[in-house]
Amino acid sequence: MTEAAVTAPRQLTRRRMKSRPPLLIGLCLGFMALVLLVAVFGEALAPQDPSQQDVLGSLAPPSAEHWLGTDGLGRDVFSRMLAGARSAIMGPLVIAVVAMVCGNLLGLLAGYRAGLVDSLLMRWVDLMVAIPSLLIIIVVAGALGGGYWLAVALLTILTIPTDARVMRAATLEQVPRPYVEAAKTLGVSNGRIMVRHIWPNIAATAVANSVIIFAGSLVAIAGLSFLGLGAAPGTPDWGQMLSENQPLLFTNPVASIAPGIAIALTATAVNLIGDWVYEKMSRRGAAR
Amino acid sequence: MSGSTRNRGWRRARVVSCLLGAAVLAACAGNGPADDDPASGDGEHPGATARDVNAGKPVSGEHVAHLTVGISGQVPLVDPAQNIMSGMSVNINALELLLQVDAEGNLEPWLASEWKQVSDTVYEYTLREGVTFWDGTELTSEDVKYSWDRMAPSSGGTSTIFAAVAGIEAPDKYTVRVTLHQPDASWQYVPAMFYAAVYQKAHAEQAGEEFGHPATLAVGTGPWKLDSLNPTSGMELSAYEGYWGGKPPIDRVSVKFFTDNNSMALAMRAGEIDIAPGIAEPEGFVAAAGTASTYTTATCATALVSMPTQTEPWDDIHVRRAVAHAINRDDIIAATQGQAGAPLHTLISPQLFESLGSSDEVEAALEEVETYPFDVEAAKAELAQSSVPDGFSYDLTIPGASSAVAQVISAQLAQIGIDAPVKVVPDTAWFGMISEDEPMLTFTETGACTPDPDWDSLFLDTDDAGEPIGLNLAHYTPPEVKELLNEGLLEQDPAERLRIYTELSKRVAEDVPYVPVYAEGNTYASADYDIVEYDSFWMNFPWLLNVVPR
Repeated sequence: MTEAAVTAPRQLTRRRMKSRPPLLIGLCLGFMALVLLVAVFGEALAPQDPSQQDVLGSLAPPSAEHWLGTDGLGRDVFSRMLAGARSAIMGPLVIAVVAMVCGNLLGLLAGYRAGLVDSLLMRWVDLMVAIPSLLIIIVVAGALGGGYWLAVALLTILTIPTDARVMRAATLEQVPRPYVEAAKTLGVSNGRIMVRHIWPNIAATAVANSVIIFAGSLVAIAGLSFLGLGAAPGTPDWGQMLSENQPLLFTNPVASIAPGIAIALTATAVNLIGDWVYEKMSRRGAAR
Repeated sequence: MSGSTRNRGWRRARVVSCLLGAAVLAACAGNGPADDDPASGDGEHPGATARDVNAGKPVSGEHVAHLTVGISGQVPLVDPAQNIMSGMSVNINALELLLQVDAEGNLEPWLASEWKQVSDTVYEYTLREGVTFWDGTELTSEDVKYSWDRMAPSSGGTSTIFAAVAGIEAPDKYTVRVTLHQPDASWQYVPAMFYAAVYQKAHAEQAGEEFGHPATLAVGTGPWKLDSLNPTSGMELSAYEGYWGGKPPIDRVSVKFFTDNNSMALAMRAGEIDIAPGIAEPEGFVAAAGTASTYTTATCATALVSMPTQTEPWDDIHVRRAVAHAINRDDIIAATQGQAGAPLHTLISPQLFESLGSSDEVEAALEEVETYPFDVEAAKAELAQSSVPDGFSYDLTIPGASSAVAQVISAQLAQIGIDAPVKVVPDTAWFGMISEDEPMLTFTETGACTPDPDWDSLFLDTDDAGEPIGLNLAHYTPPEVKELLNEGLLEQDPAERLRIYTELSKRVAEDVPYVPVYAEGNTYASADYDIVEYDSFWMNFPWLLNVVPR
């Protein structure tokens, strides 16, 4: 028996194992699936009306009736956690998608066209990146009275340049490659080269960056809600709950800790999944 | 200027005073809660006990070597003319007042041993002899004149409350004579309020522009000397051995500043502070502080819902009455986490009537005032008679500190078909909306109050043209109300003033521009000490003299 015949099955097994997500990623995927499920059906799944107040029954510790106890206005914390998943996911998703589309287009354009277009776009990006984003959002949202979608809009605007810069760098790496030269020689249009030829080769970076943006936005929106500049008072929202329930740390600690844990776990899970997806896509790209 | 109308500056001044007071007390007090009976006010608690010792004497003779006090907020400087907030909590133990006001609103002697109203516009105060500043020099009427003159905006002071004063004289070493522009029955309490603190003229003149700043501080007659001030971290005070009331019982006092209630509670838990004279959300504070207990007293300040009476649909009396019936005070008070003093049904707190008559007289007078008990069916019936029988939507615009209470109000209004989403705006934006006369449905707490029923005129003030000013959030401007307010100030006879303010209360209750919700509360917390006679006016008194070990 040749050596190749002996080792081939092992390599195949190893490859098959590598294609399967590791346990940690599996857990993260499971957790995110749960969060997405709750984000879509949260209000319907909630055992109680998340906005129903029972002020005289406030600050109750966890019990069979209230799994995570009640907050300062007697609202069921568990139900609010479920209902709050939607605002936790929705805003970051919008930011990540919009930033990905706009940032990718601008990055491709700057990296591929170079010259004046590149200079103008990158100086604008430099200017935007130099601005302390969170500080600007706090000031603008504070002046305009805050609000969830205002926070989302501001974060989107301030995130696009970051994404554009990353994608430009990735594009610059691709432009000198032979396949781009070949496409040009064949008379393929610039737009088609950027979108159909270059982008698929930098998709791993694009996806990974968007995932990072998603996780960062999740934390940023929660932070703005914590500061009273995000979701409106009374809205079931993890950041808002973290802020509203902060004084309950010694009466019903679960009420303030639970939304914090949810934010941290979601951000961590998204980041780990993003890393894993990047590795997978890069490996597939390298194999190709 | 008409003889019956105060100038605009005076009113604005009172608003500023109240709001600054509110800022401190809200910082101190947060947006908290209480039930009908504040924190246990059974009358036996030391906080509810009246002082029974002479002026200047401590309540307890027990010696305390060192006391650490925690307060919310910071004290950037100690010049009362530039920062009246600094007069509260700390300064008042160093810079004293001519008079004191007790829990019933009666004036008591302090630096002034006697006082009298010479005429409708002239008040005369006789200083106690032998009172010395910390450097040993004697307090004279010139010091009082200097201190009070500096309070007026015309002299660079920020407290325009002294704009009512036409002149201050010092005819002899121990006599101070104040002449007002016009009769003003509420002036009598000004020498007993924290913003009228007295300090040494010679030191202030020598310090010049630097007076009150950390490098110079101020020299007073109080039982504790101001040793040092770090505007970001705290102050140090030490006993003045030559104090006119005898050696103070506490040798050294350290004051620590905290940015929020929770950090102050945790400091108390760690034993870093002994007492916090003004805290927010007592229930949460106790939970965080562990061993501390709190005492809450109902003050004369009013927490209320305001409706813009000149804006649709709020110009419909039935809408306002519907809201009045929809408000469940018990739930709102519970949402304040022990901070509210007691439910309130009249705009002018019953406490403020106490100086105008006996308890029976006041009770009989207030029985004439219409109230709106919580009754959802009555609220729906009123709304059904209104121009918006099917309900409507209108933002409930509030500063951040009132968020919890506003959420409860919003839920209560939703029960009768009024959609009032809570809209939190920054404090500055909220004050801006007030000054721009923007109509808003809102909830407010005002903080420190003065003992005269005229204090509530800040919610009813109009200028000479009849336009709302100050904290007239409801844009409520009936000429009859303005006449009653002026009458109440000009009239000097308490019985007659009781009649006037009863009439005023009746008129306001009929029109319902505001829904009074609760009497605001003051709360102190400590594991080891109590503050005797802790009432509405605690910050107008060297309250450290009232501290007793538990």
